[in-house]
Amino acid sequence: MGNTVQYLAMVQSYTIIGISLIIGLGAVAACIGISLMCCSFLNGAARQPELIPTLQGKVFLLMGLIDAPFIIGVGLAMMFAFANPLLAVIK
Amino acid sequence: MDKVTNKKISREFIKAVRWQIIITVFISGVFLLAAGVNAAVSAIAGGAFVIVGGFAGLMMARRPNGGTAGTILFALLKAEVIKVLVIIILLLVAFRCFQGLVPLPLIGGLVGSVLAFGAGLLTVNNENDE
Repeated sequence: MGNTVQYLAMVQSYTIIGISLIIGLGAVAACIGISLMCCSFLNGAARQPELIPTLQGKVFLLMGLIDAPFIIGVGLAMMFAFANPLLAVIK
Repeated sequence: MDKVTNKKISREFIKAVRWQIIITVFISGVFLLAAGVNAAVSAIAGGAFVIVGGFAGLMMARRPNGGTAGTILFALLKAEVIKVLVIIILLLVAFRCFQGLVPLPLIGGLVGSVLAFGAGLLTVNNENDE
């Protein structure tokens, strides 16, 4: 009984560290990607302002793609937070 | 933001949503055969969350603003924030309130739908857009 509780606590604590890494690193990567793309958008808009409407749609779609790993990571993190499959091994 | 730009963004979004729906239904069908009705509903929910979030972001991106690059970029960033927030809130609600939730199909539908969002890029250089 004591060992089981100890194992549960250990799995939960490592899971929290994993969740933090998933969300944090995903957010950092998404921020870097979006900042690079925004920089390119502003650069292109300054050089050729008539292309702004064309670039706008591309930026909207590419933002969704750049954010995709972050959203997937958040989904995985929520799965580990609310329905952790690793705990089933102990129980 | 003028009507032509709004129409162009909407067209690209609709193309993306079409692919998202196709892929979500496909994943849902696979999980229906493999794991049952609850898994299929979970996969559809995962895909629907991304579609709803994208729609909320589109509404924010289409709001009229100034014509400068900075204001347009700010509106797009706000749209992305709204999209991510809506998806996270819907995921939270699903994990807390949906009793028959199967996590893996939900993540599968979410992943397929998120990655299919890039399918809107297929229409970017379409000559019929002009």
